[in-house]
Amino acid sequence: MDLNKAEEFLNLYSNDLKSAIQALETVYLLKNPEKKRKQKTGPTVVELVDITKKYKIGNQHIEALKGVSLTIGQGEFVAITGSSGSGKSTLLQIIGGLDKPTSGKIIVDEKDISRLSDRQLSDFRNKTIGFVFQFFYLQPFLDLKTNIQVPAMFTRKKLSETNERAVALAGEVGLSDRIKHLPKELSGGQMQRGAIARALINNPKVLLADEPTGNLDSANGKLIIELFEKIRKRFNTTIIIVTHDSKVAAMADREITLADGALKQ
Amino acid sequence: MMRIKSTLILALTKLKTRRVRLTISVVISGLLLSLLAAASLISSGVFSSLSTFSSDGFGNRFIVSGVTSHEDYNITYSQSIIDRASAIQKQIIAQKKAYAARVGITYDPNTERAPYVDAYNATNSVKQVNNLSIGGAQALSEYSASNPIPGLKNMKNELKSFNPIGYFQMRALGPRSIFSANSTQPYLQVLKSGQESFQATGTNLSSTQTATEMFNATWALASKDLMKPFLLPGATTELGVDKSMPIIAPYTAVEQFLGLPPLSKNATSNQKLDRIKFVRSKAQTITFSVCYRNASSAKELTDVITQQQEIKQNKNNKDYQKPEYIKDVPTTACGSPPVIRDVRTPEDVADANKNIIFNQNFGEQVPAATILNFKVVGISADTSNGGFDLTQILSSLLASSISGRTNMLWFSPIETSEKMPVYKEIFGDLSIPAASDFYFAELRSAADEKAVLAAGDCISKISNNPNTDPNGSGIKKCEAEGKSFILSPYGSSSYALSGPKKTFSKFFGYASELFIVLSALIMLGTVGKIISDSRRETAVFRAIGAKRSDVAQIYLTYVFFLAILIFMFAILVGGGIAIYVQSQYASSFTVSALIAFNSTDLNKQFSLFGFSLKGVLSILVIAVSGAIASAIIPLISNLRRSPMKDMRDEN
Repeated sequence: MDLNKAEEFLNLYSNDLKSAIQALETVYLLKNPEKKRKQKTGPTVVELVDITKKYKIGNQHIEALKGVSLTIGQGEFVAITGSSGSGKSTLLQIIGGLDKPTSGKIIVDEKDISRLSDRQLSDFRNKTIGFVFQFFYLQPFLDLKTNIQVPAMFTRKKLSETNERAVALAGEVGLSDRIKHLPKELSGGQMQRGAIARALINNPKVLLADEPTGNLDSANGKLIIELFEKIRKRFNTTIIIVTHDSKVAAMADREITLADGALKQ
Repeated sequence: MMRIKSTLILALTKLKTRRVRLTISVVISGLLLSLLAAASLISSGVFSSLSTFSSDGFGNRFIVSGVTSHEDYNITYSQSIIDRASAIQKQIIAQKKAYAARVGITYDPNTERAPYVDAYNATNSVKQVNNLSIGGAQALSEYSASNPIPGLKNMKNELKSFNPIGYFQMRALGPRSIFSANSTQPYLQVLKSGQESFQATGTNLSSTQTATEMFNATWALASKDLMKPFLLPGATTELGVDKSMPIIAPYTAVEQFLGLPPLSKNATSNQKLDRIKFVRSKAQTITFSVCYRNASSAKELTDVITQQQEIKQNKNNKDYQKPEYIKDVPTTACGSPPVIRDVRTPEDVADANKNIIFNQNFGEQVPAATILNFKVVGISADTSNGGFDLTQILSSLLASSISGRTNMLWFSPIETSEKMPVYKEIFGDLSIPAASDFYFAELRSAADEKAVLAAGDCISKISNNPNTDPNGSGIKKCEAEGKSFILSPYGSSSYALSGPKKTFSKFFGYASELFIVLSALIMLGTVGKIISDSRRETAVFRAIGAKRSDVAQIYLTYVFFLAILIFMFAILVGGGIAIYVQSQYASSFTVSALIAFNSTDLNKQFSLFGFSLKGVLSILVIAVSGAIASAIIPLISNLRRSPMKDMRDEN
């Protein structure tokens, strides 16, 4: 009888217990970054070779990236940090196929994306990359479930085919009870979780997040980072975030710091 | 390509954003388009009603009318005719001098009008034959005799390849030749209560003249076939038992004969309709008389009236000496002016008689007057009876009434005219073509009519400049080509309607183009702004995997829905306008149309509201084109931008 009761208790509260354990682990690691355990990573999924990016604004030539080379493995959680104008967002755009490097090679998921056409790049962004933005950018007049389904709409998938996954992802980000709600009925943290669910709808290999906690309070920011951790573990997704926040960066497996367009050694 | 459902979801959600701006856009563009929608709905109703009404009268008969320009006024500048006029004038003056000397009367050649006058054409001073002079009139008469006006025979010859099924003729009152001197025109006056009126003896038409006063210039003889569709029920074109001449009279004249005062301008449509019914039911009871005076008699009467006015003006003038010979206006209808004072010496009387014989020897007519009796057998359309005057507009627009483009209002059968006294004096010899003749050919189809009109159009295209063409050689060239007549549609409702329809389509086309530009400009400030403000959204779509074509698909679907909203708004407002116009003017149009088309079915209704699928679809196409035109530039601009840059800019 006691065993049955214990089993019932565990079944009922297992999710809460797991979340509590994860939260405790996160708090511990934030307080003791030196104790951080490196995640065992898989094969290389992002490879940048001697990437440069030059802009011309008026008569002024700006070199945003200066020969950046790096590799990121499957399932790795990488934080890109640096001061404003250091080139971190440019680097994120290039990895995400939103911009092309002036020179160098960039291979994502075994594809040299610097050679892809605009149409192929759109397809690449849609299927291989998931984007999370600082300001969420959810469609204001679509409910959460439909918002999560938007990237799938660009794949010619029927909405009915993605219904189940959208609901499941809403559950994964803790918004099961909010799927019929419009963005204006959600808090900032909930909106960002919804945006993360949207980024995952097409099961991308890489999740790119540009200042994902920049518009949230610290409590919600922590929750978002925990969610990234959870996603990484759950889906083995490579997560690359751009952040100013050193505490957030500390949570990553690796912190890449850019200074004046170059990797800081 | 995205799936339709997905596209619809993303496009429709956009309609919920920026609602104020969207509403302004829909209202402004919709209002503009509603004017076109109203024009389309109203014109559709008008054309449909015109078709229905014009099934009366000539219905769908395909008739062309032809008038000639053979007697080109330019030839009055011809030097050879001027020379001939001078020679004749010299000769007649010599004859007059000799005759005057022989009978012992005074003749002053300076009283004769000069054979030619100095005229100004554009920049040049040129000589022109004076058709009122004895030499000029005779020279022009000789010219006309040697250059006969093309007549029905010519028309038959010119149109034989089109196999017309019938030919008709109409001779209008007026000079037989455009060179005729005005003084030779006949004088005709409708008698009021059996009496002549000596107030209006002029022959000039003016807008203030009543239809009976215009009899003098608007009576024509027409083929029975042309008259038949306009006869009152049971009426015929045969002479009456009292030998009265059948006549189609204008509506307002019939009102006048019946002693009906014109309806007030505020008369309701029901009052107007009742009036029409009454007029039509009583018209056949009308008989009336007309006094015909030849030119000499008319001149005699004018002289009498002038003399009387002079005496009246000098009533209190002690120095004024009354004329020795005074005539009064006739006391009997169409009678001779009686002499009321004659204190001339026997020598003066003898001289006066000699002068009369002298003038008659040199062409002056003996004064003569005759009473002509008529019976009304039909009604032609003229001005409506007060209020919104559309009758003439409708008539002239369609030319499908008996008047057509002839400007005539009274019609008697040409076939019966010989039984009328002095008909030849009034209308001339009908077998000799005259400048006032209209000829008609009835074709088998609208296509034949169109072909005839296209093939025959020569004279209206030539330059008729007296400086460059003093001998009317342009017209002669057309005649040599077998195109002697200016042809126009007559009585064919379908063909007559095709002109206004074409004009309307042209107007609609231009208006549509203008609307597309205007609405695109208006929407550029609203829809265009909405799209250009959506850079961040476009950037997000692009970042999460939308192709440029996907984004274009979403926004074009959005503007399509917007265009549908504008279209619906325009149709609602335009429909409202058309319904309002219908409620305000339909009954007035109905009355006007009943008169203009001489409808036998007085229950017909003229509608100003009609549905045309083509018209409505045109409005939709215009709305969509305008919306897309406004969206296309900001959309392309958005798609060409860097998504990440736009996301940052917006922040």
